[in-house]
Amino acid sequence: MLAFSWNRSRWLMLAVLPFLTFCELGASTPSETSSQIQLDVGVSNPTMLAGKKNQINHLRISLTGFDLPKSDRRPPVNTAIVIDQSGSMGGEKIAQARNAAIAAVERLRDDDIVSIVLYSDSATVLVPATKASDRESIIRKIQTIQAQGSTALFAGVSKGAAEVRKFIDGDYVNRVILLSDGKANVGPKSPRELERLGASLVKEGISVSTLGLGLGYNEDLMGRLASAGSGNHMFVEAADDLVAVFQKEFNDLLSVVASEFEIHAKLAEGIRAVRVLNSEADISGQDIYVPLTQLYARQQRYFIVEVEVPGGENGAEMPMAEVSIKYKNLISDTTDKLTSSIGIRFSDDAKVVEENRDLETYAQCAIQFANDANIRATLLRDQGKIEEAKQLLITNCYQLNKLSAESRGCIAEPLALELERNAKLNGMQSELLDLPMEWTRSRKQMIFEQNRNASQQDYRVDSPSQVSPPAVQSSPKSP
Amino acid sequence: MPRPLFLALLSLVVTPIVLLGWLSASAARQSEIAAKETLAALLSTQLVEAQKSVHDVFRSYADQLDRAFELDPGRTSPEIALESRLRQLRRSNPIVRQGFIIGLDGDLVFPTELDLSGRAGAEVAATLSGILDSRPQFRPVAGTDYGNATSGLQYQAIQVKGGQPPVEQKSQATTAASEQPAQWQQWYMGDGAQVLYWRALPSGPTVGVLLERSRWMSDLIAALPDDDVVAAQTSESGERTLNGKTLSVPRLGSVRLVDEAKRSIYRWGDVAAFDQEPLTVLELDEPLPSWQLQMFVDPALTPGSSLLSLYLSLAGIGILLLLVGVYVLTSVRRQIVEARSRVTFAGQVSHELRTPLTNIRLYTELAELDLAKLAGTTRPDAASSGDTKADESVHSLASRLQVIDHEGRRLQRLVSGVLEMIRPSGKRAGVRRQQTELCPLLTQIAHQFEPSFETAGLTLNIECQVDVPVMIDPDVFELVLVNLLSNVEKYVPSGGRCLVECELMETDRDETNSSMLVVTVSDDGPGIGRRHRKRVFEPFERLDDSISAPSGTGIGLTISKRAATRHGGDLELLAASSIGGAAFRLTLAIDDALLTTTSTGTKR
Repeated sequence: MLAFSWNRSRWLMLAVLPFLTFCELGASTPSETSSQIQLDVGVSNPTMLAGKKNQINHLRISLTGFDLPKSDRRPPVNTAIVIDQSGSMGGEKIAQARNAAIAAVERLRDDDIVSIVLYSDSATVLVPATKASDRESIIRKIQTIQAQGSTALFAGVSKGAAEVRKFIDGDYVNRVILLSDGKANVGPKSPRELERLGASLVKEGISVSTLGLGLGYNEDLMGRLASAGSGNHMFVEAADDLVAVFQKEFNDLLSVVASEFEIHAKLAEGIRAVRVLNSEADISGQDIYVPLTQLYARQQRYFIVEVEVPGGENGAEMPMAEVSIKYKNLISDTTDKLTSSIGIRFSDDAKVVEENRDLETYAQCAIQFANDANIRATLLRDQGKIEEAKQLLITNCYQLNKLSAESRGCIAEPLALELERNAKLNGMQSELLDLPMEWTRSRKQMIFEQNRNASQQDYRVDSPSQVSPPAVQSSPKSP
Repeated sequence: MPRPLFLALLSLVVTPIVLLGWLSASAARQSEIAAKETLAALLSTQLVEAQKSVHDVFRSYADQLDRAFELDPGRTSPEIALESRLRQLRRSNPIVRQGFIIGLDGDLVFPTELDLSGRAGAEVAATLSGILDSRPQFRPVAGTDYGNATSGLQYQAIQVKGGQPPVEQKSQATTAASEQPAQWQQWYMGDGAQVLYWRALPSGPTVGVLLERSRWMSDLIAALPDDDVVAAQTSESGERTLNGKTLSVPRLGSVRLVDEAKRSIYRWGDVAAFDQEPLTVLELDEPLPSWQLQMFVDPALTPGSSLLSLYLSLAGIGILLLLVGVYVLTSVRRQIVEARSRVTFAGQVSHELRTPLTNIRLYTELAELDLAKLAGTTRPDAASSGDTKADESVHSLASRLQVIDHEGRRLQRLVSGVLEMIRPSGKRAGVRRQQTELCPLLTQIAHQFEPSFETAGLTLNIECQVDVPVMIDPDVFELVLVNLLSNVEKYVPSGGRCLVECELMETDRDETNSSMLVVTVSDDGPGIGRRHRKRVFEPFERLDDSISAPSGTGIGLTISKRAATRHGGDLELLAASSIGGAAFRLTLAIDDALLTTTSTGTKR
């Protein structure tokens, strides 16, 4: 349970004054210690057109994980591997699932905690949460897994979470890894119910990753569970890839550097929060709380908050938001706090507005916009409106490409690559859209990519100390 | 083989089998139900345990929330502190979806519109008024009226507590809180039943929390047993040798948790059992009154369900009964065949007897005639010669011949009786009607009985009122009357009296104006008891079959009745005799053709 003291952080934030930003690559402010999360708050249009009421602007809160130290030290993990053993998993799939689980267990250190939960008609705890030191016995048990029955997915996640919860008080990276190849058909089965369960688990600091195997699983359910559960969602088309994907998931899991995040953005008076683009968030009035359980090494995780600015006169400056984060640094074993704030100014000159645009933030916003449009396109395609969906994707592709060309050289390489990748992706998806035979597959692919983009699943920057976007402020900082 | 007999036998075989089958089947069913109940009682402990886990889960929520509602008696006003506490709970407490505060005046204080953003918030906002309308109402805490006075009182109470040592303050606060009413509320929204927890705080406002449905379902599932506890326990204790095998250890009974729409939320135990009707159902109570725990049992575990042995034993009994039946049937058939051959034999013998009898009678009559002639021719001689001795011997010869003739007739009657008896029933043939003068016939019959009646000391009165010839079979008439009279001779004690009345009677039967000949034979003998009346016409029925009883074959009345029936009439035993004893009435149908000519003559 997170213990959050609202009053104290507000006092802290009041001491921080707005800080202005400039678009310039390389104007980096190295963080004070390398093993600190880097908080970077940006706004896509730091200068807004004066005199216009209720303009939309976007606030970006970015967190960048530091690299793991060279030594073998990494935070211990507490993970439940929840494996679908329903009848559809028979044959190659279950064999590969066994191999993947065994390979994963073999990677664990003695102080890690692992539990194996199986589910079919009901849920079975095959290996209760235990230290990974007794690998042989765990592996022997994994080898007995057979496939049969139906799919009680909700129960599987519940039991897995319960196993993780047994050791939740330790300094562990808590995660449930769910593997499924079918649609949940026993117990609660709507994506929404699973999504809410994931969101609830996140409040405890348990993240949920979902691995969809084959073409039969419910990608909405799995995708939304992972996104609400602050974990990874992966699409594994062929059982042969399962071991590799599991390894990748464990790579992420074993590279977690910080957890138990409390991200709080307090908008300045008059600015209204519309929504958070790529995450669930708790918005009440001026306060925005974004849930996040874990941050991987070198991962840049950012959240885009859409805000409505009341408008101002030429030359006027106004504070926009104060962001404070609190997290548990799993390397130094301390609870760290960072605060940052940002403001905007108004100008009559549209050119100034254009010039002052924070390109990095703008690009990230664009990626999330495109992602949002991509989600809408999936919905449209579901409704049979193939042409409209296609148009959306093509527009996405065009705009991302345009932005990519414009911002060349002005943004960091990973982001530039991400832009290009997304542009290509949308282009490709638009072509696959009207192939009915391919739709099952490409829909899973799309949901996977949407999740991946929204949660920056694979977005790794070099290292916070080397490449650091502008307008970074690490707390504590005085004006 | 007579059909009724066969059917009777069949029913004799089938009925007990059916009865036995039904009885044993119902007994088996009863025992099955009883066994099921015992099993259910035995297994319901599992359900109760499960219910307890459910309770514990919600109890822990309540405790957790109660603790969360405890506020430091602080600088800020309790409502604002509470608001921020609820906001924080929504963010950080996994079970809390949304908190509510109802102010002292009963109005919603929190959440405001600003707090309900996004899809989840909109869902709550949409149903908010409904939730609030149906929320449990708490009675006002002691202090009655709302408003400043109450707040003041509460505030004062807090201040007093503040003066006490901190430990005690905490415990007091807890008890004070737990004394306050807290209630669960169930509300349908979104995916299904939602649970809300309401508590009236000592400081005045009422706090409610909408629990996260997915979360409490998940916690319930986590609290309920695993699919295979045995396997888990074994693996925990590290019994490696049993690895893999322990998974097959069967658990008695399977349990399913179903929600208000009877959708399965979680189940554990044997899957196959879920296809059937639940053995027992346990309704959960607060806060999930519409949910159920259902217990299922593998059909193989349900005792006494196999009816095979029952069917086998029933089949055995059936075969046994059938064998007995077949045996009885064949032996009965054999006996029937035997009896029939005996009857045939008797018939043949009787037939064979008839010819010599006729000859005997013929020659007796011829002898009588010869004797009469002899007497006539010898008379002048005898008169002249005065040979009385020869005359005497002729007389005695004549009387002896008469006895022979009499006995011959009797024998003939017996033989024809036997033939009548063995004649296939229902045949109308054999009635030879002819013009008959009744009174002479009657007199002739009476004459036959004269000697025997005399010896028995009986008197016979004949009242014949039919003086026209009627169309009847005289043989039938004679047969019946002879039988009746010989019965009188046998059963009426000495000094008795017999009355034979004979008349014609017109009946309006069948619309045609037909006439019947009615002959009533009554006596003043002992009569026939009421309970024997039915039996007298049955063949071979003798009311007294002892040695001392008068001789007889027991078929006389039977053949008489049959003959009368064949003649379109009847022989019946009258309820009462005009002179005190038994009375039989013979009715014979008279041929209609003749009736018209005779009808005038019959009336007197």
